[in-house]
Amino acid sequence: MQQSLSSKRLLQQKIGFAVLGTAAGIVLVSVAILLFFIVRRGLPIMSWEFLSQPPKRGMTEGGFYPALVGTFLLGVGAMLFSLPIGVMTAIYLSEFASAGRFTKAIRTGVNTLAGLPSIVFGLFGFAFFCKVLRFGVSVLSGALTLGVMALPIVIVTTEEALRAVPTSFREASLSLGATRWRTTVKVVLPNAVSGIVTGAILSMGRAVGETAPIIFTAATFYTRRLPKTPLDEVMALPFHIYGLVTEGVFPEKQLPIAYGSALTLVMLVLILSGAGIYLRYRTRRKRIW
Amino acid sequence: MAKYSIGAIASVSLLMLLAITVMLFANALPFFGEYSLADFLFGNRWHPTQEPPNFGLLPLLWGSLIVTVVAMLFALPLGISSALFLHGVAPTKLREILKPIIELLGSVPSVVYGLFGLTLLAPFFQRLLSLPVGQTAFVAGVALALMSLPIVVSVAEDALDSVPKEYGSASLALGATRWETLMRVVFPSARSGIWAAVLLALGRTIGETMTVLMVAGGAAQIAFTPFKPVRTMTAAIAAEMGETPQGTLHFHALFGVGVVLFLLTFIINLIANKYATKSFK
Amino acid sequence: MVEKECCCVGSEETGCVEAVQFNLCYGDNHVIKNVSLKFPRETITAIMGPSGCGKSTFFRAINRMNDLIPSVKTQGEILFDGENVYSNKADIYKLRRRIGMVFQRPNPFPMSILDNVAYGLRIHRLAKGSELEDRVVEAIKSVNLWDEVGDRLKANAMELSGGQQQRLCIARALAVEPEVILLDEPTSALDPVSSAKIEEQLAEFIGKYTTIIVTHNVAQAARVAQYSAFMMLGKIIDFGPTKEVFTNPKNELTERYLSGKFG
Repeated sequence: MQQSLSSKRLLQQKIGFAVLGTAAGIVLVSVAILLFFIVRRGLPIMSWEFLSQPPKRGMTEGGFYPALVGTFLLGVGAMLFSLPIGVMTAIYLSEFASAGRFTKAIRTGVNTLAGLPSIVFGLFGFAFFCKVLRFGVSVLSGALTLGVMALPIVIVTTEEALRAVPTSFREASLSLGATRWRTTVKVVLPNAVSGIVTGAILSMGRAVGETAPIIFTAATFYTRRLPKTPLDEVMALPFHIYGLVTEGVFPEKQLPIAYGSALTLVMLVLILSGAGIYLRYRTRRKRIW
Repeated sequence: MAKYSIGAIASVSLLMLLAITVMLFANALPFFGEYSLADFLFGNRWHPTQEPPNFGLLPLLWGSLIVTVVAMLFALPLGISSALFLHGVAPTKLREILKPIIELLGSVPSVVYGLFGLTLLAPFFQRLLSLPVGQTAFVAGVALALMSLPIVVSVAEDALDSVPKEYGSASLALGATRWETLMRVVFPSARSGIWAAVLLALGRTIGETMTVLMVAGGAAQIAFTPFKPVRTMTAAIAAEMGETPQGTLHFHALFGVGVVLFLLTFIINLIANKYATKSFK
Repeated sequence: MVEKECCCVGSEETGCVEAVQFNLCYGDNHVIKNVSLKFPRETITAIMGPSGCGKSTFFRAINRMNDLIPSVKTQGEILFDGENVYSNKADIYKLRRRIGMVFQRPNPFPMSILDNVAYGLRIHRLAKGSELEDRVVEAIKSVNLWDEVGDRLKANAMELSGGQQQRLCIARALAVEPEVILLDEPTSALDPVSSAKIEEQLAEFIGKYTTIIVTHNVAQAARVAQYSAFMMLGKIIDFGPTKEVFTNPKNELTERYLSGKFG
């Protein structure tokens, strides 16, 4: 009787594992289908011309070079804003902060920023950077908006890296008479570089793929020229895709271009995030102390 | 000295949050000067360009709600089951490969899910269910489910992973099977982390813009079936902001919608973070 | 040397554990080397030895807790009531019910006190409803925890002190009526007072359960165990009634260990 109870329980386990496995399988298959279609529809149109030419004939022909450049500028711009401020904030939280109200407020602020919808950043960027600060619809406004949005990613990733540096390193430096700031710069930061690079890459990956924050702040559907100053508006890949499928007059010609752009965007984001995630796992695993 | 200058820079995120709040409220305020709050919150018609215009939030709120419910109905069971599979069934090697891949997929931009939903999912479900229109709340929900799966799986797996291994050993030593250990000990022990995953995904889904803008169909209506087009709060802002002259009532009304969205996600995330920090030492 | 003979094959007696030329490897690492040992029935046997000598591994081999590590290979037999626990026919779930285990650090589940003790009864479907509660109460009483927690069985077990948690873990193991109890340094994470209570508890096991305790603490072994085994580098180098082993060790290494020369 006992034997049969155990086999009953083992059968239950088999069924249970099968159900969980099926769920995981469904998830993997649907993701695979998504990627498969993006690649299959996007790949045929990929060519050097596609990447290097501006769009032609009302975006039914030609490439998306300006969108690529615009996305690059927005991504780099966002990082230029979020990286220094994010790293400094992380340094403060991990090295200087005492468990006071101010620290708690900053943490709550960072958590809240991380959870806000991207469209809210768009509204804010439009009202603040475009209007109040008079930057207009421009690369600058867009990059700053994306930068604010990416701030939490840099902070969280950097703080994780800083906290992983053992306290004994700091104590050794402090006991030799170094100040906290010198200890941070000379001892803690060098040991956390890969974590900071990870944060930078991940935040750029996030900024590059976002659409909603740049709709009103930076992006334009169609321009043949590249921005000459930070106050010019730009094309951007994600917005380009959106425009092609929703505003188009010749969908049969524009859809392939949209898929080509989507494939490029996915590749770009996956490479950036892939590098970031790889670095993070590597540093987590290969820590020598 | 250094402490205070760095502290000043650290407060930038706080200042930005403050600026966001001020900007949203300041721009929404003119709207509430002219339009009653009750009519906004409980109005069941969103006709911003009619004469006189109607700015009832309910259709948009309903749109966000129904899309989110559909998305969660798919994403939560699938996502949590997958996390359980990765944690308790899959061999370590497989888990070490799949976990980063899933995290990576979380970074696929929402506009790509929108494109996928619009050109493939919508026609597919339209034919399958023989619907008059392809772009519906249901399809948007499916696309959003796909998009939020990586978050659910990855955060839920982290939660399961943070359960001390000793609990599992104790259960196995009592003669429990791996299934019983997973479902009766590890899963309940990870409760608060799983809740955090659920709430994070919920917040993300309610706030998601591009996918619903492209896939949900855009009709601001209260339909008690997911197989009709809807317009969410996010989609309304994204679609209407560009076509609205600044300073008009409609312009400020959209900031009012932004305020609602802000408060909603703020509360959800506050609860999520409470759960997230309640995990094990 | 009066050894209680253990000959369960074909007899009515239960709770017999015997290793027969047992070997265990982690990959290429030969951890347990040809161990043969009969644990006397319904008495307490202490396994001692320096860290890394394989005592914990050997002990976990008895209820097959090493199965969880993928690279483990075994050779030889461990007989429980005359049957090899490593045979293909062995039912490890039933086996682990009959061989209870208590860990080094108290590890109650983060559930109520009642659910903790009821866990084994429920998964093995041994009791339901009021009978379940009766058996939970009985188990809690048997570890003298009733006076302390009897009025709050629904409280979370994590709220208990370390010593109470460990006694709860013992109650959890006893509730499913095992014949053998394995204790892995059960007091090493506890304060002296709590340790003393656990030791009192162990004294009550004599005559009921075949108890095997791994310990670092030589004095504890001398206090609680009727039999003692010494392990070195994966081999049992000394085994016998505790008094004999302590006063007249057969092996020089045992003597040196007992006098604190290494450990």
